[in-house]
Amino acid sequence: MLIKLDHVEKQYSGFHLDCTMEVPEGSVTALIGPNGAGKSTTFKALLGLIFPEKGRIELLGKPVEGLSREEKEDIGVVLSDSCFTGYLSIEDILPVLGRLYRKFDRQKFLNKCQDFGLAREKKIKELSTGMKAKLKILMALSHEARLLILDEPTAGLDVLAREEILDLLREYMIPGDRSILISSHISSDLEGLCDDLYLINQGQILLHEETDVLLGDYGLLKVTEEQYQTMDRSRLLRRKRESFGYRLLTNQKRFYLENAPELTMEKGSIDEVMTMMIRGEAI
Amino acid sequence: MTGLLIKDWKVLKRQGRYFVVAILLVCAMSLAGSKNMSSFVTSYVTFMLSMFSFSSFSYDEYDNGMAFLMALPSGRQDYVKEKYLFSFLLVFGGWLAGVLLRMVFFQLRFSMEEYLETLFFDPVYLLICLSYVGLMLPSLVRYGSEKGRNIAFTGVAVFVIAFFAAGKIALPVLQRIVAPIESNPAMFLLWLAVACLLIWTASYRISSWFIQKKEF
Repeated sequence: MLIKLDHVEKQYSGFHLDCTMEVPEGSVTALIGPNGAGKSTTFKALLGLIFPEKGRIELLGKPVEGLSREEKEDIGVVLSDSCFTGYLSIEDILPVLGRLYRKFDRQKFLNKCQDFGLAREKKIKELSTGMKAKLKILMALSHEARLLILDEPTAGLDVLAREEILDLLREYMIPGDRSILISSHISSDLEGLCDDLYLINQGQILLHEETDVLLGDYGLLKVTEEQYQTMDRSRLLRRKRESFGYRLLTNQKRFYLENAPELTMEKGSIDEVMTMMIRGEAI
Repeated sequence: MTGLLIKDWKVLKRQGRYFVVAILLVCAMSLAGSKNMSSFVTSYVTFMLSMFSFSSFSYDEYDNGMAFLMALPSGRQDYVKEKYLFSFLLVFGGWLAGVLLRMVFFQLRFSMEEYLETLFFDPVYLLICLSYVGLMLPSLVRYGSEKGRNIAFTGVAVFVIAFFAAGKIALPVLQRIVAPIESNPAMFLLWLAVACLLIWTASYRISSWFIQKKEF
């Protein structure tokens, strides 16, 4: 396992994080959830930026507090709202990255910057949100890290730029021994990239599922009050009252398609599943 | 640590131009004045550059940058080490520049012999400035640039006011401080250097402790 969190707990006023999750080698894992769910807190705990009261965190197979400087070079990080000071330019950060990471590939980094239209002389604070997001990703990818920890890396990017970034991440995964933990609000990015995902809300992991399973087996049923009372409810996860009756979430779509074809079934997207898991009532 | 040092140096190069212009203007004005005004140059340049070492904290904090810096391989302890080294280099570099300016000034307008008569004050400025920076750094590490600077300024001010306000105690102490300057300047410098070293050692340890406990 490249990442392992075992009942990591952190208490803030009005918020309690209790997170257990794993990211195996060769896997892209997503952490999704609404704003304030605990995604950034989890990332901060992983990176040793905050100190959990309980639990155990392992990165690259070692307790996070025991990682050596050299081992930390194997981790690429993007934080949603944090970077080098905006008063530096790309030209300025070249020697900084060169000193921080022994495997920093200066030429490759510069080529990518050029491909993405990032001017070397421009100060970071003068870059647009999208440009800054690209720069952060390129920095994380610039030193042959084994593990990428990416908090909202595509935030603020347009569709084309997002696709370029996702292509870079897919290319990064080719060797097979690397992993990515990513959080994003844009579910279409995750559907095409991630092997599995964790859903977090109010500091608790509500769901862990493989992306293929979620997209293939999860479904949304729209039923009237009468249909709800008579149907088999043993394979339902959540329900939500609507004007027409109920919206229901199941992780056994096939069962209902075969045994209750009269019910209206919709394909479960990540957004739909997330909304139902958070807003719906447990059954 | 070298990476962080380069980062601060690059920021200094970009943002320090106005600093340098302001310093040079004041230096030129001072050097155009009397012999006594020239010693102001050393203290002024040293002090101004020590100010920039404090500013480097606010540049790091720009756009929540501290979290990113702490997530880098260099980590927390290297951050503190770098800040102390950077501050020392700035203060020492500023002091050296001030001394050289003063030497040139004396060479051009008076004589080196006259400069040597005032030589004693230069190391005093350096040690006082270093001590001041050493006192300020822990609160900057602990509370960040804005709050930390206010707390440190207040702390130093309270200390100085309390020291002088305690009239009965302060007078003999001050006499004890001033007496060795007149009788044995070298010994005074030595004691000042020891005090400065102690302040820096304690300051570094406190900052290291603060950074290990701090959450980002």
